[in-house]
Amino acid sequence: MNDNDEDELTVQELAADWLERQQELSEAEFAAFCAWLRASQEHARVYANLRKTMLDSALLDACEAVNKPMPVAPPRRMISARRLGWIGTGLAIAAAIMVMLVMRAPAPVAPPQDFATGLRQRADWKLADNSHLFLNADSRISVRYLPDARNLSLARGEAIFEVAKDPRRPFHVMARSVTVTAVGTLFGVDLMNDAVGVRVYHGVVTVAKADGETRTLTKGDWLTLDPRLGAHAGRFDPAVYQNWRTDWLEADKMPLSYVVAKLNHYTGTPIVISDPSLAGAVISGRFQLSNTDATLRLIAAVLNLQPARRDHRVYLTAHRS
Amino acid sequence: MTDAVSVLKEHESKLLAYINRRCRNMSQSEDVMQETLLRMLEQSRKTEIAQPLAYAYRVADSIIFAQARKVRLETGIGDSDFESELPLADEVLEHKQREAIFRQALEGLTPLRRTVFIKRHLERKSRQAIAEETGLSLEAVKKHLVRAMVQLADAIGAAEAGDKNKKQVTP
Repeated sequence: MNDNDEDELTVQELAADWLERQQELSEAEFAAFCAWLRASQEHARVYANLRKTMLDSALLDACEAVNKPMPVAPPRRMISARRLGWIGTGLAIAAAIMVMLVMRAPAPVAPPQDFATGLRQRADWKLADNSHLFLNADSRISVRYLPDARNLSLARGEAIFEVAKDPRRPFHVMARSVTVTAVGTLFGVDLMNDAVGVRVYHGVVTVAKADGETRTLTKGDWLTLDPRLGAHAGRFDPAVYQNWRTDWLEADKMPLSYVVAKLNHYTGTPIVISDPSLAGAVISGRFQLSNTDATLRLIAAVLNLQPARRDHRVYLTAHRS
Repeated sequence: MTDAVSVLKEHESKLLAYINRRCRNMSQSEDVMQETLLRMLEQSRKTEIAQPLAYAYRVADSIIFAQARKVRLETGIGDSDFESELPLADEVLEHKQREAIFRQALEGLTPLRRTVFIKRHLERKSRQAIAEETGLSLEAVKKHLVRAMVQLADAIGAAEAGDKNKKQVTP
């Protein structure tokens, strides 16, 4: 490469410039970048190679090494050894006991573990404490076990927990701003857009909102906390527990938006309620989630809706004749 | 939708070998692997992934780099950088070897160019700030940056291509 060339950038230099400015590109510049990338295989190859190089942690290490050519400060071990000489024997023994305590204490603090399922997939796992975690379609949860608590955080979708009893370590499930706590029980937490649903199949759980308000739910109770629609509670038949494992949704005056949220865990073509007049619509019935098209036709027929497909989405509006 | 992930399952050992070589230490590998699969899963919900293995290498690169820098990975990774689905060669030298090559290449840059590059890449300064600190024009800073990047990519490219040829000669 000619270093003195002031005018024309080579393909490699252009690629480097795009890569270098990647985080700062405006929308128009990004479109130009995509066009440039697609313009030739050579562009794509050169760009990919540069990206691989610049994302190499070995390059970071090399930069650090070159940046600080001086050998690093005195080893800390020496200092502490010298200090130990100053400290009395009693302290040394205390230190030894502390070390022993530290070594003997169990290390139950595991790094958080994430579990996820894809569209139309379901899975279940046995956790470290013998609790069972069932994840419904298109869901994601992170699990963190601490010495005094079992903390789970549902980021997406729906999960059911069969909790192994351990009074010293309460089982908390965080969903949006809601915390559901159980000691030993079988319950489900469900994210439907902004709403959080809780169902108790067995035992007792407490549900705490961010403002401190708590409620206790027992077997057969369901509770939905919706930032817009408020709190709704009711009873269900715990025997329907198996339903969600069979792709069937049992809706009893369920808001249409929740049904749509559930269906969207099963389809690659998201369904959107685009008609504000449908905000309060509710629906009852038994729907097969895995057969999205048929369910959508059924719902459309019941509520007199008009599904329109556009840009890989299905828009629902009230039928107007 | 999750086909890309099931394809990856078949190549799990290949992906893990790649991650092992790209990571600073192998104890990170399992974490990176897990995170890579999760991000693949998320991305496969949004778009079809034509070259799952090549794509996974790139995702893994981003994750390893972010960990090395101890910054959180920006969400939305993959939307811009993965426009090209071109498979890259998966021959990778060991981390230590790569570090040595980069070091040599950095030392081969002119001192000014090396300073500009390190201010940008390591210290994450803006081009404007670098121009002010060095007294260079913005245009000159850009030239130094892109040329440093090209020189570094060429150095590692040549080394890895050489390594590949050696492997082919002695099976």
